[in-house]
Amino acid sequence: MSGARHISLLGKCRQRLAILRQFLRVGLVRKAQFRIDFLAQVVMDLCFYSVHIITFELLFGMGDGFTIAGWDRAAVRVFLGFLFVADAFMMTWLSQGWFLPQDIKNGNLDPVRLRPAPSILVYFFQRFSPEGAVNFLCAFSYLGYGLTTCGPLSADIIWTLPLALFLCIWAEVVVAVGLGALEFLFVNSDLSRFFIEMAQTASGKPLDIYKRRVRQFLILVLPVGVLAHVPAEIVLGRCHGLELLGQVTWQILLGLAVFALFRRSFKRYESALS
Amino acid sequence: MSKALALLAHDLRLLRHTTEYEFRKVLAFRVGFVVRELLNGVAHPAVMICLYFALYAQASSEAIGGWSFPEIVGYMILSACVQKMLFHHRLLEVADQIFTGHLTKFLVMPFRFFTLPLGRFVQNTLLQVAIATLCYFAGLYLVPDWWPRPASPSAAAQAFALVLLGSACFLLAYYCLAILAFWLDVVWSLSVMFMFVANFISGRMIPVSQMPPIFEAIFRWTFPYWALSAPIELFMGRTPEGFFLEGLGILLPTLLALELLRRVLWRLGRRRYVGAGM
Amino acid sequence: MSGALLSCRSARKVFRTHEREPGLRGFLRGLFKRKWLEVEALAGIDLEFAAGEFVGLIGSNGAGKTTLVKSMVGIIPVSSGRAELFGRDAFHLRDEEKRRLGVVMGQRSQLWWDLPALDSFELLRAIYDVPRAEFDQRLARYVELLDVADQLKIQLRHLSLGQRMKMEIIGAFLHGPEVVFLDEPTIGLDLIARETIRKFLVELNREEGATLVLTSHDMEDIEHTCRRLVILDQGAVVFDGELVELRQRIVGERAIELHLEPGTEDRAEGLAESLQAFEGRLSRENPLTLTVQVPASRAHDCIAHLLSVLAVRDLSVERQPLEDLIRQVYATPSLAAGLARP
Repeated sequence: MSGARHISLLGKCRQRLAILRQFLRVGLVRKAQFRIDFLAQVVMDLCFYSVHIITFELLFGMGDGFTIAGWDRAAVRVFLGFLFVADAFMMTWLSQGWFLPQDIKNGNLDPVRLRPAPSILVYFFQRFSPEGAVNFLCAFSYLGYGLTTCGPLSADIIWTLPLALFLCIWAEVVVAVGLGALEFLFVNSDLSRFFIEMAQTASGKPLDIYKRRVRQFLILVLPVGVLAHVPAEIVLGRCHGLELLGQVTWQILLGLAVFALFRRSFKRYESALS
Repeated sequence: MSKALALLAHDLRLLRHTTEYEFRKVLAFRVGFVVRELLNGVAHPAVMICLYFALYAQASSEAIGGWSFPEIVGYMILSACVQKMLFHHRLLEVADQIFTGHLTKFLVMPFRFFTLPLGRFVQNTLLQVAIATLCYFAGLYLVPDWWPRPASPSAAAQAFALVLLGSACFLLAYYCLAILAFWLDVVWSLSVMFMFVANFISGRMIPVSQMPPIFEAIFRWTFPYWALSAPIELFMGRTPEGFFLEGLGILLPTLLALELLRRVLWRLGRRRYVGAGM
Repeated sequence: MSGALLSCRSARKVFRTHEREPGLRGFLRGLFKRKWLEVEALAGIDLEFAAGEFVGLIGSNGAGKTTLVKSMVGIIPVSSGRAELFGRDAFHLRDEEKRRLGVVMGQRSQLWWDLPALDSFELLRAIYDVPRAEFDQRLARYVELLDVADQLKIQLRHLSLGQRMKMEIIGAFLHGPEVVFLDEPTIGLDLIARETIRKFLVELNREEGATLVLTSHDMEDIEHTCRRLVILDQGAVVFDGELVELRQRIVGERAIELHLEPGTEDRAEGLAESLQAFEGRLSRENPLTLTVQVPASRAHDCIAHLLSVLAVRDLSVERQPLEDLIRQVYATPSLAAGLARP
């Protein structure tokens, strides 16, 4: 009998990376088995992107020099680029979150509670979808296209782009985990699925179309506004200096609080009786 | 003949039971009921109203693409009501049942499996029609200035008929996609893909008549257009004479074709079913 | 602390649910007004398991077995009292303790349904941080013991129930856990698969010293594997002790079957009365075959009496099956009360 084995911080990081690598590997194995699904999901996301692009292009096509709440055609393209990156990340790594309501209801989270690794990592990241790589390619291409239509790439854009991308992906994780936490409070309510849909719908347009308080709520509390709106504002130079620093700090703190909330909510999991 | 009638009576009895059972399921969880049944489909039109408000606020003319802002608001309100009534892919479980092998238990029972999704369709339609009607009249009472009114009672009835037929087409289309699970292991992406395209064609994002004429000319040949955008315009009195008949001319043959396709796919698929895991 | 790996003290679990009235009207009423019910799944359990034990946990449906297992491994919290594993509240286990634990849920797969088992095992290796050499060695051994080498690369959902369960068991043991809970691992399996799994568990308990807690409805599973038995009824422990002890304390009956020489059947006349001296009961299947039920302590004298009175061609003595014992425990609360461990 070996007794408790204490793992160093470095060991923990190594273990988490090994788990992610295994999720990535089994994702590839799974998709190698379901090849048509691979293709279908790529096309599905292309449909999602196309519908968004066409909708905005049609709206801007209705009149010359149209802007939507101060966002011109080029700025909206940058906005959509970030939206697609966030979506590609969600489809690649976080799609298991969609199944959380039924997993709670059917008692499928028993193994997650038993595993010696963070529940957020083991649950949300377990379904790696390699087609996301193709989606990422499309999303980045469109983001690049959007940025070039804004004018020549400046040093400011290149400097702020990694930070904007980090915020976009961080927010995607925070939103998925936060809405998952709600699901434990209202079992079988489909609340998280409903809010994901609502959040996606609300964040699918530049947030300046909403009143100030709604906008602040969507950025600072939910924070679906950080999926595309805030990153686009950062690279377009509309958010900088102390405001940018405050935004990044707040989003990281909010994210950590949401992760803690999820871990706490997970304790409400009652499993299934059988 | 009597045997066929007895079979039909049996199916109808079963349909009644299935519908009742589905009602009990949706009423079992209160928060779930509010979220799924009451709030379902309202977010998108609300966001689109905000978007259009921003667009119209800086436009030089009162109308864009033939639509004034109050008309667009009316369209989006009606769009929310219609979307509640339309069948959507999440109401079907058949693909999962094929994948996990849980279909087996139904296949050995003396009834037609399609009665189960049909029961869910009837339940969903009855409930959503009731909720949409209540919401419509509540809105009419609370904000009468902004709320859209029917051009005539017959226009409202015709629009309602188109929505119901369109919803039945959605049921069959999603069902056909779902039973492709007999051949493919994962089919949800096909349903979602179809949903994205159907949403656009139906005019959920932008009224079809506000799009360039080429879009409208093409979309008029498809059932999603006749399930949402067309009934709303009919309701608002923005359509020419004979519009309703044109809609029936598209929806009824589509319904028939989808039903035939469903039967063929089911028959062929059953031969491939292995009942995994059972 | 007594040094037990696992302990429950007055552990109680109550589930809250609402009453669902039948019919559509009842459901509509339930939408606005609900009557809540409390179901007591565990009624104050006291238990301790030491290292290296192989414990059988049995009980009828709804007795609280699965709830007890889930509370002990930390899937659900107890409502009051304590459930401790490795000296820590089971519901708040840290990763260090989780690494020492394995669980097999017979009716709930812990492996990935759409992946070959081998890929799931690799994933478990990463999650439990098992060194490669250790993992390979264990996997090879377990695969050989359970005879599943040919099925490792097949999607789990395409395996038979028995093959799947063997994979689940391998998955639970791959990280070398000190304590393993097996909740009905042989449910629905054929005789050969059940025997293979039993042998596997006994060997791992003996050679690796793993503490095993097995719940099963199959008494043969328990008889062939466990030394200690815990019987649950309505959320309470009604027996906790050695299997042998149970047999000694309540099993006191033997079934003596006798086949008589043809033509001597009339010598059995009046036998029933004479057997009363041994507290025996006689039943006669046909004129030449008799069965006598007698307390184990009187069996020896009773057999001597039977041989002296009858012309016996063949004789067999059978112990009472475990199922009968359990039935006896459930049927006699006073007996159960007398059996409970102090």
